[in-house]
Amino acid sequence: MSASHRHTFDTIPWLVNGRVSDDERRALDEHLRECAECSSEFDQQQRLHTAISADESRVDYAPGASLQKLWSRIGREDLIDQPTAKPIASVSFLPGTTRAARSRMMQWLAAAVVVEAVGITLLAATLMNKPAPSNAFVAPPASTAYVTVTTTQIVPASATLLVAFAPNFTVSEVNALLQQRHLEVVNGPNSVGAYTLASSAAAGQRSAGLPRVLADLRAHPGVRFAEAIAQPAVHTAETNP
Amino acid sequence: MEHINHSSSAPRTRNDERERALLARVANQNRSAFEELYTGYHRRLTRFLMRLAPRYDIAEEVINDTFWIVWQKAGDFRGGSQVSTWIMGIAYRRALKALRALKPEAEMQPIATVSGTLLVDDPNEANSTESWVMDALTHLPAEQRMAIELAYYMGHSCEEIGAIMQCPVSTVKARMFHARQKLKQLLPRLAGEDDEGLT
Repeated sequence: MSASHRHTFDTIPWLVNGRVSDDERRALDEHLRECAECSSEFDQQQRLHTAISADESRVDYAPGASLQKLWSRIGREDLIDQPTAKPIASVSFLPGTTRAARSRMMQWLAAAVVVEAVGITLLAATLMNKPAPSNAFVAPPASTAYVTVTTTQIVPASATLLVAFAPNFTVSEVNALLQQRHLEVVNGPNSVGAYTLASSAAAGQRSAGLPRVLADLRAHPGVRFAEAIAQPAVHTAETNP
Repeated sequence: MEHINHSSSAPRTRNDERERALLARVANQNRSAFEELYTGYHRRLTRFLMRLAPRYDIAEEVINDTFWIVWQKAGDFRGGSQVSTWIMGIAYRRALKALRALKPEAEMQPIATVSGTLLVDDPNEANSTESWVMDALTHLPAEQRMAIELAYYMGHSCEEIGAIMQCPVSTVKARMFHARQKLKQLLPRLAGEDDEGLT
C-alpha cells in the first residue's frame, strides 16, 4: 500500500540515508513513483546527503594528544587525594557531575576521618590503661606510635625505619642488604609497598648508628626511600611515593 | 527512479555488538578497550562538533567530557539502545552546554547572503561542494543543523536521532522539515535546473 504524501515527504531523509525498514521503503517507493513533488524532493535530498557525507577532508585530527589529556584528567580525578587542589579548567564543562563526585568524595573523607579518630582514641585509651609488658612487640604510648593515615596498627617498639625498595630489587638482594646492616623486616609492605624495619643490634648501637644507616640506605640504588620513624607522632605514609 | 538501497542493518548490528563488547570491558576499567572506542569516535565526533563551532579546543573538550562520562558510566549502560546512540546522546548534550557557554563571537558566523540566497559556486563542481553545503548549514539553528548532521553524516535513523536529542520522532521530523526548507531557500541550485519545481 502506498504511503501518504505527508508521511513520505517527512521520511525522505531516512529513505535517502538507508535507515528505513524494507517494508516501509516499498511503501514509500510506491508513493514516490506517483508523486512528482516527493520525487523531486528525494533527488534534492540525495544531493544534499551526498555533499554532506562526502565532506571528509575538512577535519582530520589525530586523537592521540586528546586521549592523553583525557587520561591525565581521569588520573587526576581518580586520585582526588588533594581536596585543596584547584579544580582543573576542563571541569567547568561538567559542573553537575563534578560537584556530585566532589560531594561524594568529601562525604567519604569525612567518614574516614571520623572512623580513624575513633580508632586512634580507642587504641590510645587501651594503651594508656594497660601496663606495657616487657615484650618488645608492643606499641609504645600512642604519642610515639607509628601509624599511617589509612591504618591504625601496632608497630614493634624496635621499629626504626620505613623503607621502600626499587621494583627490580630481588628478595635475595634485599636480604643481603638488611643482614649487612643488622636490620630485619618487622612489618609491611603497606599500601605503598614500604616495609617497616627494625635493627637487630643492641639498643645502644641502634640509636647511635641510625643516622648512618639511614644515609647508607638512601644512597643505595636499590632503595627508593628510607625514613626514620617514631620521632613524629604520625607519618603520612600515603604521601610518600 | 533508483533509490539508495544500502540497508545497513547487518553491519550496524555487528558494529553495535563490537561496541557493546568494548563497553563491557570499559566497565571493568580496561584501558585498551576504552582507547579503541575513543579512537573510533574521535574523528566522527570532531567533525560533527566542528560544524557547530569551528574551534578544535571546544570539540576536544566536548569529546573528552563525553568520554569521561563513558569511562565513569560504562557499567550503567543497560543496552536499551545502541552504544553509538548512547554515546552520541551524551556528546549532543555536552555540545549544547558548551555552545551555550560560548561567547557569541566564537560560534559559527553565518556568511552574508544576497536576497536570502547564498552566493555560491556551481554545486556540481566537486571542489565547491564542501563549502557550498557548509556555508548553508551555518544559517540553520543549532538543533536543525545537528538533526541534518545526525541523519546525513552520522547516518542515524529517525528513532535514533529522537533518542539522541531526547525528543519525540515527530519533533525530529519537524526539525528536519524546517532545515530542508531553509536549505532549499538558501540553495536554489539544490533543485538542479528545476528551481521552479520546489515546494
